[in-house]
Amino acid sequence: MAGVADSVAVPEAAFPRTRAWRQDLGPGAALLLLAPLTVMLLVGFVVPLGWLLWTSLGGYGDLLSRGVARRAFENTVEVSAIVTLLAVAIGGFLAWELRNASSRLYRSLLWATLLFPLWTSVIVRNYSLTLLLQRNGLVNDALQTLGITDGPVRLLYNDAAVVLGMTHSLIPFAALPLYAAFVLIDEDLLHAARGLGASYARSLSSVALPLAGPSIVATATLVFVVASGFYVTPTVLGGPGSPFVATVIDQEINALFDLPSAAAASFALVAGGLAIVLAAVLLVGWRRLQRVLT
Amino acid sequence: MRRLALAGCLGALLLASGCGGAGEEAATGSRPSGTVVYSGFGSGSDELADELMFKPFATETGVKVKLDASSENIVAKLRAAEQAGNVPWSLIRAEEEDIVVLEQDGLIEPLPPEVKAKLVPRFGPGAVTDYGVPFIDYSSVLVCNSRLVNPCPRTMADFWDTERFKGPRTMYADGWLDNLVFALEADGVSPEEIFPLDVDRAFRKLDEIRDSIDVWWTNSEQAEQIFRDGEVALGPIWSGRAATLASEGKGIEVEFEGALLARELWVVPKGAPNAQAAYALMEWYATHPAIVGDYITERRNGIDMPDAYANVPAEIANALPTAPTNSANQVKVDFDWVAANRDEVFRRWQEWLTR
Repeated sequence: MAGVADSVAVPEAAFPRTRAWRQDLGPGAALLLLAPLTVMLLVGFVVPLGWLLWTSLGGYGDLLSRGVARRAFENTVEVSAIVTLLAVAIGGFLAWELRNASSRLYRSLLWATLLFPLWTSVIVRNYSLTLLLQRNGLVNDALQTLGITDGPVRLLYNDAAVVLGMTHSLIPFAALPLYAAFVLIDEDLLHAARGLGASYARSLSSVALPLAGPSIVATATLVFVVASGFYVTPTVLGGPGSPFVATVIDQEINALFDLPSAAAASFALVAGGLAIVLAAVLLVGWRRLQRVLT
Repeated sequence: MRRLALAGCLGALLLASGCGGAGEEAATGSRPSGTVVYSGFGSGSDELADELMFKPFATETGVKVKLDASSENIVAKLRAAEQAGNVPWSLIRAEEEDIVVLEQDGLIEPLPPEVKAKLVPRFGPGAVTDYGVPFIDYSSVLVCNSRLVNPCPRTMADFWDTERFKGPRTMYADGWLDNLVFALEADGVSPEEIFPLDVDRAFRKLDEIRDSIDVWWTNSEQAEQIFRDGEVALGPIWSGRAATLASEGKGIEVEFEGALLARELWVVPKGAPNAQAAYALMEWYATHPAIVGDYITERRNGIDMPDAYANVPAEIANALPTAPTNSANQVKVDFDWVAANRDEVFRRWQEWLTR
């Protein structure tokens, strides 16, 4: 900011430097201004997290010895990976359509599809899905009316329902950053590819995909990390056979009051998320990841 | 995720600082005053108790009752509150299987002798324990939708028989004790020989039914709703909910034979704010049997308080879990066994359930 003041030639006399206000703060004042934020971060974030880490030290052994926790971690990674693939694929498709759509009606429709899940309360979203998927719900009725199934099919309380619910929630998280990346792709490059004889599909895979590749990786990272922390959807739509790390943490705290195990599970999840973010940084660079995250 | 863990810590901090301290000055005085913080199970039952009992009590004595639905997982919560050094509740409604653990951990206060002396004559013999006064009796009963399953199963062995009794099934996801008992019943153990539980045998029997359970219910509203929606056709749920379903005339049948009789009591935690007022509320409750009768009529629960049944309509009283015809063939829990084994078997149950 000091540079700005220098470049604008202001007559000294018009703005005499007073003690009341100076653009150039001394180091003391700067530190003082920084203090509230630092204290807030320390008290509100660093100290509790440190305390949590300390608590967790006694919990890792217990946690590893328990099948529930191991299964929860496996299941979380597996389901989150599937959800990430689906959300990026579907979100990517929506984002690409949005980039190309010229009709206003179609554009509004696409935006609505994207934004409604984002605006709907998580409870409403999940319970609406249970209404659709239950034995005498809309989906089962339709399947039977169309003669695809003889009787009601079990659609709820399993991993498939969790994947469906989570994908639905996370499509906007994938589509919005991808849309931002796709609009930057120069239409002329695609035209040039087609002009040189490439099919539409080829122009996408050889021109658009490499250009958007790093953004896709960054987006997938974001979606995966968000997915691995899900709690409500696995609780409402999943059965006991599809535990998530978050549900295990809840149980350790609320049902068993085993704080070390709960802290250990939390920390393992945070560490896993950080490792994935780091891998993404190495792969695509910090700048691009930051653009997706913010 | 980190957020969730932090929320847990914050929760513990709130327990430590929030809601406590109400009317502590009253603890030494003889006349109760201030506020009683009451922990219940929510879902309408606390609100009904508030309407029928707590509001009139407040009008008579000036002691306000504040509702806080914390009794789910009360063992963990009270352990946390004790560790934080600040217990927010004056009076807790809890299940007997949790209360025996709380007793063992020294987390609840024995009733003062003079209070106990006043309570005992109002209830059935032995109903008032050293720690608490009975609030409701209920059962885990086998419920069946006769429009989907006909004939309905009568025993747990029937429930396990997935060939003869076809239909979507449900069980209670957190009901480790109920489900172990039911498994042993299904395996042919007679009700009086179930305790001490043969845990290995029970889990072996549970393995047989595991894949046939369509929905593991986690709260009683859900249990009621899945039967009403036809999402499930048979399985054990709580008798109060079952009675509500049966009264709707949609073919829901309730079987008390082999059901598991359970009790909730009111207890006062160690370090409770305004315990004196909590005891006053207990006494008020014990001396208003007509109001207790209204409460159990509405909720379809039983109570070991003979005077409470004076105004309960006969057709409702006869369908309660405590009616002599219904209670005769139910399993009674050995709570010493529960206290000694709860944490270990509960973990094993969770392992089994999520396998």
